[in-house]
Amino acid sequence: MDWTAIRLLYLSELRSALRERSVLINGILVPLLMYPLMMWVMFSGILFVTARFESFASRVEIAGLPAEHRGILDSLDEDGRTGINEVAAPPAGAASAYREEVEERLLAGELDAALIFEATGDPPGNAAVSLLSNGSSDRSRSARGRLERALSAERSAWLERIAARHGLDGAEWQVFDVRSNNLATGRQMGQFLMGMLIPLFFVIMIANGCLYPAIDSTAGERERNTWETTSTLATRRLNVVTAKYLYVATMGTVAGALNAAAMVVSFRSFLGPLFARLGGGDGGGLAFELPLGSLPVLFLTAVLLGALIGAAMMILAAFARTFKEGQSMVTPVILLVVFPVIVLNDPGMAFTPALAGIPVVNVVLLLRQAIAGNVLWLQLGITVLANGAAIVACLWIASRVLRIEEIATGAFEGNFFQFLRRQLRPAGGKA
Amino acid sequence: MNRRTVSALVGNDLRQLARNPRVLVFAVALPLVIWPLMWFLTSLTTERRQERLESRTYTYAVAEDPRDAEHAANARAWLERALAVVGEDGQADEADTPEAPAVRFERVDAPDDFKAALDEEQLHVHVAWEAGAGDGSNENVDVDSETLGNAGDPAQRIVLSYRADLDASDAAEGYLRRALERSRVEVREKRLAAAGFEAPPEDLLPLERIETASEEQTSGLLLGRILTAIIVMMMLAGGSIVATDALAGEKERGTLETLLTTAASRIEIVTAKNLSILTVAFATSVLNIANIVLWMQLDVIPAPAGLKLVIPVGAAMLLLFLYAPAAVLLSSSLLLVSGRSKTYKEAQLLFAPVMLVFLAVAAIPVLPGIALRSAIVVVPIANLGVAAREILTGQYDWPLIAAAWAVAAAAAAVLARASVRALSAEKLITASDLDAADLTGGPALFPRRVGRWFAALWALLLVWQLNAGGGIDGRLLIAINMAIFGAAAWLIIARYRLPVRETLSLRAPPPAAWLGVLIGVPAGLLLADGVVRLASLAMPIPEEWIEAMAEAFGADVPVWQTLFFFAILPGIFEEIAFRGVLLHGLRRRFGPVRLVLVAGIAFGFFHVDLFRIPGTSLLGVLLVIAVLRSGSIYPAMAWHALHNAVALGSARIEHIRLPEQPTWWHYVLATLAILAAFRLMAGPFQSRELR
Amino acid sequence: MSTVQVEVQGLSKNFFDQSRGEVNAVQQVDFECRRGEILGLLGANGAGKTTTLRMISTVLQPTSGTARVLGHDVASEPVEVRRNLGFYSASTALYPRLTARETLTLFARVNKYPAERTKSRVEEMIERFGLGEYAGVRIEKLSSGMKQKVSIARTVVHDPPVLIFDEPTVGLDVLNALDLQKAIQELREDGKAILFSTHIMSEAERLCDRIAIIDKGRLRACADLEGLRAATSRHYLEDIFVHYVTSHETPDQD
Repeated sequence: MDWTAIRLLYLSELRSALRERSVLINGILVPLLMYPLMMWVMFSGILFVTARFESFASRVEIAGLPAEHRGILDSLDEDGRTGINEVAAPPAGAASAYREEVEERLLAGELDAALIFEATGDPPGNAAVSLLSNGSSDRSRSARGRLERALSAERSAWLERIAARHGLDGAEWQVFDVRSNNLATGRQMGQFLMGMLIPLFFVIMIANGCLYPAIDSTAGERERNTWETTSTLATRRLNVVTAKYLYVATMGTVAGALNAAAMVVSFRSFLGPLFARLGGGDGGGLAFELPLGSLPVLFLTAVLLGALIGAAMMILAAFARTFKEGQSMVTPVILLVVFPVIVLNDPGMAFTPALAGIPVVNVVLLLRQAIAGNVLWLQLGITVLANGAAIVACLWIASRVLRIEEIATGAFEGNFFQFLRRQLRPAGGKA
Repeated sequence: MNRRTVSALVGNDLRQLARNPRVLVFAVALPLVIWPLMWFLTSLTTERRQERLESRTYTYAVAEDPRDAEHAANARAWLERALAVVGEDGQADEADTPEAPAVRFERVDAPDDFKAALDEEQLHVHVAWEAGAGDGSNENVDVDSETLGNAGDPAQRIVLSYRADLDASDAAEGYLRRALERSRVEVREKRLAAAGFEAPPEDLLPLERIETASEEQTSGLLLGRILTAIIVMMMLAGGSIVATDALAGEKERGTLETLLTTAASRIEIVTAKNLSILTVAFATSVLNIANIVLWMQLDVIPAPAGLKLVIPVGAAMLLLFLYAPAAVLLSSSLLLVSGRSKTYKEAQLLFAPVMLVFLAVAAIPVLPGIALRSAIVVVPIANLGVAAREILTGQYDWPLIAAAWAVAAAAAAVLARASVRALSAEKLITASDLDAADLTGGPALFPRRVGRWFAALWALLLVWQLNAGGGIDGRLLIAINMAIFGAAAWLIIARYRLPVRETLSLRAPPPAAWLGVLIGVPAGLLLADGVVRLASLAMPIPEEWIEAMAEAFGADVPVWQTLFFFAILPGIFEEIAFRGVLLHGLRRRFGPVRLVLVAGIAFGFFHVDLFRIPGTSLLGVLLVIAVLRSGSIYPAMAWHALHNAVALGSARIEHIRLPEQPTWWHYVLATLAILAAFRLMAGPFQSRELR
Repeated sequence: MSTVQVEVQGLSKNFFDQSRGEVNAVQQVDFECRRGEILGLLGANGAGKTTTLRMISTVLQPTSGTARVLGHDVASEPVEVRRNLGFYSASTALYPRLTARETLTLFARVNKYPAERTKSRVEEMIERFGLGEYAGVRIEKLSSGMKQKVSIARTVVHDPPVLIFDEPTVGLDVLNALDLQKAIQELREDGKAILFSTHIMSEAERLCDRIAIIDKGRLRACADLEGLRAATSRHYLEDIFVHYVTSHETPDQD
């Protein structure tokens, strides 16, 4: 190994990467901006939609409201967005005609919802209530919700009035009261939410960061015909490949680290205020802060994943002759990596030493724990060993692959699986 | 156009794709497996989590306090009672407890430090109590806590302490709390019965929900919200497989030049490429939808609740027809991007933002309460999406459906033409689509960018007005709009170093022009009123708007304020922005007739409310002619201000009235008066365009 | 040898280049090419040969001047022009995933060759260029010599009376280049009018009936070899070329 040559080649790869638009965008810009932006768009969209829904003025009609329940009108009046048209109960014979008329107005959009009371008198003041609405209209759905809430409030208020009339005082009627007391601090809640989301995007971004450099430094180089120039350099091919590999791993690591930083920042600047607005108060005191102890773990996992995904992608990309081919061959690695992460997104999953033996999955679980403030040393050790072994295995395969002349010059026709088949055949079988 | 040529080209594209197994596998086949699988596994994970939470044993502890043994005993008793209810529910299979969980609770002795025990998950819920509500000694009050029941004087409050960020603890608290609530309802019922009230509480005010819309209509709303976005996404994903190759890939491989030297015309090539993109996009979309439906039928992936995938045949045909221009629009824009990029890689990079824009527009039907009868009808794709939503809920607003279709089709045609132009090979061969103006960035560049600037300005205004809504004072709204126009004009002039005097036509008009303005204003008002009457047959003016206007400029607003905000400000700033900057930018691009129409109608569109567009477009046209005839912006400013003032006056002052029932000769007279006014305006600076 | 097939008058092309500013790539070029004639465009790299030929093939629009192919103007009747034209250059590539036979069929159809004769014409081309056993193999698998043959067959498959070869021998080895030259000569014997650009003197000397020397976008001379020798009193084309190019080193007077 000639480390001077490797260093030179590595630096020149990095330099040209920084001048390549697609590498820059995918390795640096997207991890930095995309998810914060997406989160912002998504959450301001949610806010906008809920605000619109809330702000609808409802036109409702209430027919035959018993005197006992006039409280409904007050609770509907509270938000000032409900226009109430109160009518007397239709005479006995005209009830169904009235209903049909209301249904027609609902369908025509002239009315948003209607409550029709039909007095039953048992107990006094009781009535059967019909709530008519049009489920194909957003406004009507919003009005229906308001009427349902008002009615249910009135029902419990009435029950309480009945209880009072029957001599049950406040305490007796109340029986007991329940209060939930969440002992998790805002910081812990913030870490919990971050632990659910950050590892997922972290893995995707590292894979994305590796993708372009891996293809560009192999297939891309072949396409630009610079591969021959590189392979005639006065250094062993192993050094060239090592430098390229280090470059790919670096880009992946950088993308991951940048993304994690951007995620934390956007959690603080978008999600915090959003929860505050949705919660109507101080945002549940949510605080999005990474515990200091998680930073070394974060960095370690970025390096491990960058090295592993980079190696896996290099193997596949080595077979491609053009950038496009490289892209279609390497995409499965992204899927392979993202799959377990999405599938395992279960907050209750415990990080057992056995799970720590599965590469990628262990990184996600390790990271989730670290963000929540626990560093599990045994699992961390197993994670490093398992990923290290996977990296070594990938590198071994990569070196076997690139040692073959045809692949290095791009004359090899076929893909990784054809290569495997050929390797597994007895030595004499090569045609 | 030659059918044989086009079909040969399409056949070639499809054959190329069919012989590219890698692309087929990774772009077509893999997603067909991956997405359902991911969906399935995710729902499996959720299900398993649910199962795990429901089948485990949770631990709880009740605080011991020797000083307050009575309350402790009470709390324990309530809890045991509540948990007994949980047990009964599990066996009784009652309808009102859908989860009917098989959870078990186990009481453990209260630990010394229950917080530490909760942290370490030795304990899931810690139960304490407070005597009465008002004693204020609750140091653990957390913002996440909720007080249940009514205010009053509760005998005892049970406090459930837990950790919301720990899955088991969070679940245990939920179960326990629901159990307590159920048990309280039961106790109340018993106490009421004991006090002599016999009727069961569920008989009080029984509610029956009656749905007037049909099942198709309600599920049509759900479907209509997302249908367009899904279709657009699938078409984009499918179309981009061919589109990257269509021009950029061919350019890179050098086959495009071969193609360009054949007898195929540019239009034939673009048509063929569009057809290839559409074919593949359509085929992959159908495949994907069939795939999802298949998995749902097989119950491998759960279908969304309340969604009934039944569309009446007539509506389905209409939707197909409706989405046709959208499909062409998508394929044309992909093709345009492909044509503008030099390599496959670049095309791919540029696709992402294009897709985001389309998805954002296609997601507009998600907005609750958005109606086709609004400014949205002029936004391509979004208008079709909203139209589709209305059709699916059973509303057929034919004139606006036609308008939406026409707008989208026009946009598709414009883009298709742009991609024909992208094939004019200068750009392909000089490898740089920049020219002198692009590099110097000076005034010469502005005419080419004017469309972008005003489109952005329009989008800004649309977003701002949609959000500002009713809450804001009308005067403030106008002032802010005018500030936006002024700032935009200033920004453009500074950015392109435009000569101010020439751009804004700041010249003295011929004196007779002022007389022209005096004649033109009433005639213009009459004509604009006619146009509004005509348009109101299709788009009636909403009453809310009239009310809002009356409120903003009602009798309690001083006259000088009304004049200032409604006449003078728009007269200055709208003129600077539209008859100044916009007109200057468009001048070199169009002949006189088109210039007047485009500049005038663009002005109309900035009056975001749909029903205002026709009238204001007419005013825009007249003002553009005034500027071009007189060579000066000042008569147009005066005209605009007077127009607004008189229009407002006619609403407030008895003596100023437009004829209630104008007849045809009113309009003939008005037209003649306008022509006379324009004659008077002609002067030494009359612009070249009108000579 | 009398019918004029290609007629170029006062043809000019200006475009803007990012690094060089306004470029007058071609200025006031006039020439004509007749049936059964090979007209060679000789010039250094960047002299304006390719731009001229691209204008004749309607890929580029002339800034001023006219060019006619069989009487069709390149600006107003581009499709008619391209229909009567075969354009071959090192940068006109073939679709790698089509076979030779499919390629020829595609281009015959796209060039609007009569449908009923397409099949026989394609077979005739396969025969003529010796593609027989490779006609069903995808282009991407062919050797570069075979690719070149398919490329020429593609150029002439719709039987155009005018052919343009823009630096066709760039990057070819000696044997392939000779093959190509032979093919071009055969096409001349078929009565095609052939425009042929090159910067290789020997090629021009051997192949062309007349030679047009282009330098810095201007036509410096256009005559047969004997005429050029007589005008410059030099024997070798190389010397003649250098004479014309250097005599205009000073800023243009004409």
